Amino acid sequence: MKRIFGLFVLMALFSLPAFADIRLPDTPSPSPTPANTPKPEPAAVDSTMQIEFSKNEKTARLVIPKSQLNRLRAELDALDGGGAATLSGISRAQTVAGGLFLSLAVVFGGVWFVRSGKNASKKVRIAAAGALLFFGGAFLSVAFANIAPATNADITSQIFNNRFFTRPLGLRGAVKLEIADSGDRIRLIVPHVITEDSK
Amino acid sequence: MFQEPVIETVRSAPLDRLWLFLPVGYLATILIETPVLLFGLSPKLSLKQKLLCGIWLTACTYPIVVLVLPALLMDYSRNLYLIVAETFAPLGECLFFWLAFRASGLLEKSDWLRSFAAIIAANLASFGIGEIINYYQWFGLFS
Amino acid sequence: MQEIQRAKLEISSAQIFVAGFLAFAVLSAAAIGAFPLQASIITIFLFAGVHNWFEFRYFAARMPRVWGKSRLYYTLGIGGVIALTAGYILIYFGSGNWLWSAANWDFAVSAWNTAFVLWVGTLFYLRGRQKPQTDWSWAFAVAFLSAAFVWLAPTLFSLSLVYLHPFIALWFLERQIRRTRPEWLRAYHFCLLTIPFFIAGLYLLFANVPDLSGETMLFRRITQHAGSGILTNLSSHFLVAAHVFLETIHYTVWILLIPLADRRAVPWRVREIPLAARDKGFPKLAAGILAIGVLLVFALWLGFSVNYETTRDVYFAFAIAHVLAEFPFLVKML
Repeated sequence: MKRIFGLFVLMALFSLPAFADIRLPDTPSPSPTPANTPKPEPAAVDSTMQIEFSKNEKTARLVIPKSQLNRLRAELDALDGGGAATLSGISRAQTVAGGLFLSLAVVFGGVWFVRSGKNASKKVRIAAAGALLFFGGAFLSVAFANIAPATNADITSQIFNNRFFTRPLGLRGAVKLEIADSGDRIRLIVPHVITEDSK
Repeated sequence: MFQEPVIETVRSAPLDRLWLFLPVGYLATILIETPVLLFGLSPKLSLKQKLLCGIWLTACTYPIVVLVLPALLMDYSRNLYLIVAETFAPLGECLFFWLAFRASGLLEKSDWLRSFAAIIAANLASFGIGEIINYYQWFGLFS
Repeated sequence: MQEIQRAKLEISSAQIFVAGFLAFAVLSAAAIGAFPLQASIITIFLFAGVHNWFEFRYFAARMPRVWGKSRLYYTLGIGGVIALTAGYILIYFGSGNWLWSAANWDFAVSAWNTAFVLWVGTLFYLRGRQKPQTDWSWAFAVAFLSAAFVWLAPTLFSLSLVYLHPFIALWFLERQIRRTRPEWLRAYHFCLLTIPFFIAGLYLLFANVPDLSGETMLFRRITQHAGSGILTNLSSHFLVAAHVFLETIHYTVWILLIPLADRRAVPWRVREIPLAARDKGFPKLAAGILAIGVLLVFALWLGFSVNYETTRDVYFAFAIAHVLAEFPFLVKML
């Protein structure tokens, strides 16, 4: 009876990682939830982007003038709840906190495991190891489910080569976001890279 | 001619890649460090204890080195990050090793010193080999 | 001469327990599955305040008059409930303030959840120190791992608390049955095993039906509470039904089953409360607090009658206190 009970409990618990595939919402969690309206449309502003190639740049830069940013901010403010920005992937705060607590968990778990020695029964140690494996698996499921699919191309002038047009997931790479005081045009400044394909 | 405005640099954070790198880098690190620890740690520790140290000590500091410090120091130079990370890792692992075994009564002063030296050597080895692998951009695995 | 003995059909209390539980669960699942929104409104209206009062009555009976060696434990337990409740209410009612940005709110919620899991972990550790030859410092490892989960999947964590909360009452009942009705234990475990089947039944029937109406703010609140904005691949009909079904079991455990299992939890047995003992207790204070609790239950009913939506929001903001209070008493029973 206990084994069957434990089996069902484990089945229920292991279902948790399955939810790791679910996209995080755009709005804060349901409880507690302030006054809310139906899911808002994403903020969007029509603008113009200018793509420039620069031999002096090592990393792509996206320069957004303040005028465009203010228009976008106005759109966000018009949404209910202040327009929580949609975030893909994992933020800096999440990475710092998640990494820190993960490290602490390993430290405390390991110290306990080493110190428990003969005091802890074999069953307790096996249960602890099993719990660690489960939580670790659930943890990794959630962490990796939040990670955008990896790509393998830096944003340089080579993105305009034909071979990248067939990528279903597109490209992703480092880009510096800058706010410009003047101008009304968004500028994407791309390092000019000479490769075999571009010759 | 465009006049370069005073701009606020906000660097995008490839944080997702750090999480992807975590398990791979961890496995590579323990493959390098565990043999060093097996030979370097005090002979008063059993083989099982040494193997556990190889797996556990790295696991204690690796999330900090690979996730936390890069996220905190992303706006600073890589050299600063390396100095901080490679100072924290061996010191932290020595501390955790001491926390785990101080109550066991197994080790004497010379054993502690030898074990700490082994931990530092293991970290230097993984750092050195890691830099070589980085130079070759992980052979295209993370490029 | 042989003596013929007739076999008597004896039904044990455990069998009655199982039969009653199954009958109730079947009827509840059917009614809630068919009318989830209505069931949510009615069950909260009728039983939310009442079950809180029964919980408080139960905790009062379990609180020793003299804390003694458990002083640190109860100080951290009660203090944690107060501090975390205050923090929660601050975040909840401050969320519409112009000072808050979405990022700040997310950070505050994650920080609160982190404080919560670390508090629970510390309670486990302190409880372990009270038991001979045990080391429950593993609780910190679990707490820190949970804290990492809090930051990596904050909305999922919050939703998991919503669905795990009903099971806390079931855990309480299990511990209580072990102590006072051990003959029910096996039957109770059997009943627990049936719960996933009821959830599975609701899933098969309603997981893919159209979402529930969101025509009013109240309906949207109810569906959001059940996680419809997060688990978008599941019908809100199933989510609300499952959540209300679990909450209904939760209410039944506190209002009916725990008093059945433990006579000290029977409401009118005030003498069973150590704090209310005439000798060295606080009988008038205990009676007064219980009476205020009854008044609050009536006030809640009045509030629901006048403005259900607002009263529901206010109730769930303050109800976090009862969710938190369960942990010190549950861990103490381990």
